[in-house]
This record gives sequence, C-alpha cells and structure tokens, in this order.
Amino acid sequence: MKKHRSDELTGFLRRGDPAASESMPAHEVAALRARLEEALARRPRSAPRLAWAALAGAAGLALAAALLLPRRAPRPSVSPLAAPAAPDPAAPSVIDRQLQFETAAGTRIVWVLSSDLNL
Amino acid sequence: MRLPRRSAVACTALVAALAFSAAAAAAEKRPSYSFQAVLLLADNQTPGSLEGVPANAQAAMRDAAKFLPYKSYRLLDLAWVRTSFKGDSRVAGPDGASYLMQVVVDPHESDGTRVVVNEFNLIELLPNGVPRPTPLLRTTFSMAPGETVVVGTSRLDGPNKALVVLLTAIP
Repeated sequence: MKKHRSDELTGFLRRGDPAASESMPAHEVAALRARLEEALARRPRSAPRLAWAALAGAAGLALAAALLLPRRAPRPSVSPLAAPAAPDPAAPSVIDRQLQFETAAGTRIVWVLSSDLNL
Repeated sequence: MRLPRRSAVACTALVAALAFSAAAAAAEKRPSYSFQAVLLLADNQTPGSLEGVPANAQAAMRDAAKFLPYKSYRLLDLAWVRTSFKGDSRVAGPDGASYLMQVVVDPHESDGTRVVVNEFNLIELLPNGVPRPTPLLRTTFSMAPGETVVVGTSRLDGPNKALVVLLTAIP
C-alpha cells in the first residue's frame, strides 16, 4: 500500500519537473563526481576516533608522571618523640644470648648476655 | 509523624549514653595486671646492699644471687606498672641514665593463674627522651601471680656489671 503511494508520488514529481527535458553534459558529471570524491577523501576523522586518541594521550601522560615524579615517603604513624632514634648503619651487629633457669627454691632467672651492653 | 526537636535531641543523647556505657563495660572485661619492678645494679667492685628493696624482691634476689657472679647489688629505682596490654614506666639508671621499662602482656594467653609477658623491654632513653633503637634488655616469659622473676642482663664478654630487674606480678 505504501509502496504504491510512493510510486504515485515519484511519478507525479517527475511529470512536473521543469528540467526533465534538460540533460547535464558528461564532462560536468565527471567534474562533479571528482569534486565529491576529493571532498570525501579530505573529511575530518570521526569523533569517536578523536576521543580514543585523547584518552590514550591522557593515559600516557599519567603513566609518565607516575614513573618520573619522585615518590613521597609514607608519613610515620607515631609521633617523632615516641619514635626510636635511627639505627647507626656503622654500628656492629648485636649478639644476644639468653638463658632461663629456676633455682631449687623456685626463683626463676631470665638472663640476657649481650655483646652491646655498656654500663 | 515528626518528633519534636527536644525529643529528638533527648533520644540521640540516650543512644550515645547507652553506646558509651556498652563500650566502657567491654573495656572493663579485659583484666589488668599490676607489676612491681625493682631495678638493681650488680657489681663486683662497689659495695652495695638491698636496702629499700621490698621484702618479696629481696628474698628472690638473695636466692638468685647464689647463682650469679656478682658481689653486691644496689637499688637504682622502683616502679609500678599496671596494664591490660602494654604499659611502661620511666626509671632511673646508673650514672644519671634514664630507662624506659616496658611490659607487654598477652591478654589472650593470660588468666588468673598465669600472666604471659610477651615483651619485657628495658630501653635506654637519650637526653632528649627518645628511646634508643636497640633495647638494653628484651625478653619474654610467663609468671604466676605473686611470683618474682629475676631478669638480668650483662655483657657477653665479661661479667663486670649487670642490670637486674626483679619483676613481681601482683596478684
């Protein structure tokens, strides 16, 4: 039904076309086609491609920043007064020996022998 | 249905008070432990005595002294530590030094018959109050309530002087 009405409308328009008897020369048709093809070849890239390129660029910049910027050390959770003094890297390693025993009377003794003790 | 403003404030205060009491009750459930600590300097040169040392600690020291190669013991300081987990007390060491005596109790392993001291540390404090990174003494042991444990430390290569702590778990 719709196709029939569309054909009727097309026929009506063609019958009423004032330039129906005129025809375009072949060289003008070729020139028009060439201009159309040239314009199609020069069209800008589609928007999704630009968006992907921008996203990739941003990701690259973020990665470069993460790798190149100096990393901030984590802040200690204890106050400076409570924190122990930094160990001396030149200090010799401490050797501890520990023994625990109990006397006959039941007194327990825990003794630590240290190579680093200075009294 | 909307509550009047005063009722809403009263309800909030009631809920906060209930939450506070519940938290306080939960904290009270964890038992705390008291320790008496006596710091002594053991020596072979200077004469000393156990004067000022509590009687229970004196008895333990006299018994332990039979096994230790020192002639004299001098009281440096006394401290009390009460904690349910980690407590410390500052004590005076020899020659004007300051020490931090630290007791860390294992609350899960300790009960009425046994106190597990996960860490007993004696740490020297620098003049600015900062603890030295390496403690003078670090050990772990368990003790019964009322018991006095003799904890000491001396140099590995010569028993010239020693620090002795008589630690008593107060029942």
